[in-house]
Amino acid sequence: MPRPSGAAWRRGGGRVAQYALVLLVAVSLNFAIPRLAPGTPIDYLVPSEQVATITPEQRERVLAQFGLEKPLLEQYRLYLTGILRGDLGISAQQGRPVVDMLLERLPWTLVLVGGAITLATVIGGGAGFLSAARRGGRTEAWGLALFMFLDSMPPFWIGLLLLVFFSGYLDLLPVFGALPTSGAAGGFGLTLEFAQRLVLPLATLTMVRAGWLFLVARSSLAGELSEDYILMAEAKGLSRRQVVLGHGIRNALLPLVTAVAVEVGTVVGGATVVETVFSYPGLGRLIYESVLSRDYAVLQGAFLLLAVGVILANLLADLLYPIIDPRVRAETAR
Amino acid sequence: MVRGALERSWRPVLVFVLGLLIVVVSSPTAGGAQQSQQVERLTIATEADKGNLTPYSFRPPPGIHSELVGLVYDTLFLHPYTEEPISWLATEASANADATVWTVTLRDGVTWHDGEEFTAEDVAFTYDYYRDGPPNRYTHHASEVPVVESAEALDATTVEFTCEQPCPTLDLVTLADLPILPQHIWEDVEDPQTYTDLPVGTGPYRLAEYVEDQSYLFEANEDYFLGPPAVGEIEMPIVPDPSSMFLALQNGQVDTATRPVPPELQESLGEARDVELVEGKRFASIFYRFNAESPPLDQQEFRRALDMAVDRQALVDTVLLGNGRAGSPSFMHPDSRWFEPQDAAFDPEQAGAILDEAGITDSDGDGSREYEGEPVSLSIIVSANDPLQIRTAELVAQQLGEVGIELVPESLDPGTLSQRQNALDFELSSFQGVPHLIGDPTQMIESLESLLVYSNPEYEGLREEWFQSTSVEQQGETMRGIQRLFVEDPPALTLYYPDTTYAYNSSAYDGWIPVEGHGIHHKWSFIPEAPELLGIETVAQRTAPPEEETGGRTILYALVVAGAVVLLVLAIFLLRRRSARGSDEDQI
Repeated sequence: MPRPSGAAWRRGGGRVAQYALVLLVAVSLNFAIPRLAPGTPIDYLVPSEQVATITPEQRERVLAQFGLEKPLLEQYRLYLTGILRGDLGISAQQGRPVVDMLLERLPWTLVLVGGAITLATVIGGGAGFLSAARRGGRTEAWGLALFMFLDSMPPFWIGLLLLVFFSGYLDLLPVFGALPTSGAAGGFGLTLEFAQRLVLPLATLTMVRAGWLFLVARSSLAGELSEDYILMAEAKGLSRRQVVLGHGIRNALLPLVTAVAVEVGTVVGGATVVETVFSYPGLGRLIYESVLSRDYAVLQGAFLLLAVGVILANLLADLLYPIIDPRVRAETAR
Repeated sequence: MVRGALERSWRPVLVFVLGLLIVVVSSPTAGGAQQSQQVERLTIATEADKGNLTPYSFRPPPGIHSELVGLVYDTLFLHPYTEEPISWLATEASANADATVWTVTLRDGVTWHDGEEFTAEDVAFTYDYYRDGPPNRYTHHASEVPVVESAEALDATTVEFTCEQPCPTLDLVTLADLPILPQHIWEDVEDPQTYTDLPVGTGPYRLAEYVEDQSYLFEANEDYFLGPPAVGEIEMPIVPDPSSMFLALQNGQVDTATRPVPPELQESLGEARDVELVEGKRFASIFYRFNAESPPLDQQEFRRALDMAVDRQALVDTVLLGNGRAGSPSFMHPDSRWFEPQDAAFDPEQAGAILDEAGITDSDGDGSREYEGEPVSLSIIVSANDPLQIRTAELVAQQLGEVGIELVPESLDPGTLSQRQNALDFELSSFQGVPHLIGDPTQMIESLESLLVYSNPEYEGLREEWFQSTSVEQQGETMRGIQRLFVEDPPALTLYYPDTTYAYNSSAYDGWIPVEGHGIHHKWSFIPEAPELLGIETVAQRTAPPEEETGGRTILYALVVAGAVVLLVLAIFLLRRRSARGSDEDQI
């Protein structure tokens, strides 16, 4: 493998600079947007019966606990320097460092959301490819009908239906929580409890997200299979399976990869509803609660985390394209 | 020979059997008096995260906060809605002639959860801290109504309170509501809202574990001054979704839920196995706050007409499915001891007449009245998270439409709603009355400045009278006067008082007691002495066999005993005769 040329370094450096700029813009928007919504943490921290009677000094004192009494520009500067130090401020809701709160929620979100994306891609994407490979047949019709039906149902509703059936009617699975409240026995017992509580939220989120991945995969492969080179491959005598798997799918993967990268960005928000129905302590619910309470520090931190996640996902996708599709590799090299 | 032996042997046997019967029958019957049960663990689902349960970790509704704080912290008197003060951390309190200086004696031998001794210093410190520090749900008791000028520890168990103005309800309300903080911990806390350690109190439970947004775990305080509580461990998972919460109760994953059962679920939930429902008597109301600076709401007649145009009973029947009471202009909750019943007259014709007189008429016959040339159209802001409030607003809009006033409900997210309410950026606003707002007279007086922005010259006089009252009776009289004033000039439109029905699994625990203003999920449900102190029955005692059955049992037992005695006497008599005859026969 030839050593990367100076041009390659410049391109790489250019790309990093691009991402850094995107991150800076995202971070600044994260600072500004929550503050644009009407209301301040005071409306949340002080009981409404007493808001009008507190003095300006008391008001400032309450805000000062979270650094919110300072002028905006000063807050912005502290926010940016804080990020570089790894200090995301103190939450107005909890009074705790935001970093701790995010790190506590992150594993749950990764498990739920990561698991759901993986399953949705495998199941939805796989079904989509299958549908495209068997165009015009019953498989395609059934597949389309099933996934469009799932896609049309609101996540809240699917979640509740599953709860009522599996927890209420069959009494097979627990209704809420990520872990049992009292420490369960040992490693295996805990894993089992954790798995039991993961099943329904994971199933719900997967069903909700699989629909459009199905469509992307299906249309992408259908497009590829109508190309001339596929006709050539079939004429050469390759079996249908060899044609579809070896040639069709490989080329149809790109749009799916893009779709998955986009999924990463949107699914955390979409998981909020699922997290609420199943009382799963993930980031989505934290963001929702923080929006209600105008907890700027948590919102800034959580959106920063999401922005980094989305950027990483896109970076990964960018790196994957050349590996999957030699045409992209060649173009970049030119 | 055998016959003789038989004759001889069956006598003692008969006597023995009869004697046994008498003993068995007259032994004390089990059942009747309820034993206080010792339960190892209870699971209570709660609907929201309320922080680490210090008095400063307050969050807006929904959810209970002060009852959870009450598990960990104690107050000086039992609770603020009683008829007479009931001693708790304090044993007695007495005031001087004009009720400005109070001397309070504290209980001896109470310790904090960390082993330190509870003394009068802690009480004095707490009142100063609340008065001078950042506001919370309790601070108004020391900083506004009344203003506690000083709280001084005279010795280890005596505190002297001095109020700026007469404070006759200090023991009844103030000392009964305000949780006492440990001085040795809080004297170093500058910013109480960033205090995130687990709380240390004197209460019957210790908060052993708090996992944010997931659960609480309480452990019994074995050294509690009233003895160890009835439940060893309470685990409280946080379940925000109401459907999940009640589903978990139905399938036994939790033993009770702190959220009141919505009207539409009551029937089906009550039928679930082992699930019982009980009215919790927690004060609740829905009222509409007026912005009295926004015309035509600035006119008293207009507000009065609005009040008369609303059919409250219809709201209760439709929205609450009958589970509630129609609202009254009194503002205070009907179960509060300060309440004076005032009928909210539903009279749309009279309302129309008042509006006509005020010059707000329908001049162009389009069905809606005009004020100063513009059709009267009011907007009401409601929380988007509360379907009952939204539905109520829609129905009220229909009712007001009948008298020619247009009402437009606007549903907002809770954050924006709070902000607009606090900034007075609304015309009408839907509010949920929390217990201490509609049960605690001191909070109501304060809220008439801040929350309700009530300005009425006659009220000013009554308010002054309230602040000068030197006895509970005087204050009660003034409160009644204020509530009579509210009929003509309501500070808010109280629509209804919803029932607060709670569900619990009776086979898991049945020591719950409904306490006015608090519901059933509070520390007194776990303290064996509490039902007697409060004069309230537990849910178990309520479902004990009724009087007639017990009476019937007694008669039955009496009959059996009497019968056994008669049989015994008869047997002895017959045996005597037999043996007499026998000896006669022998003699022959």
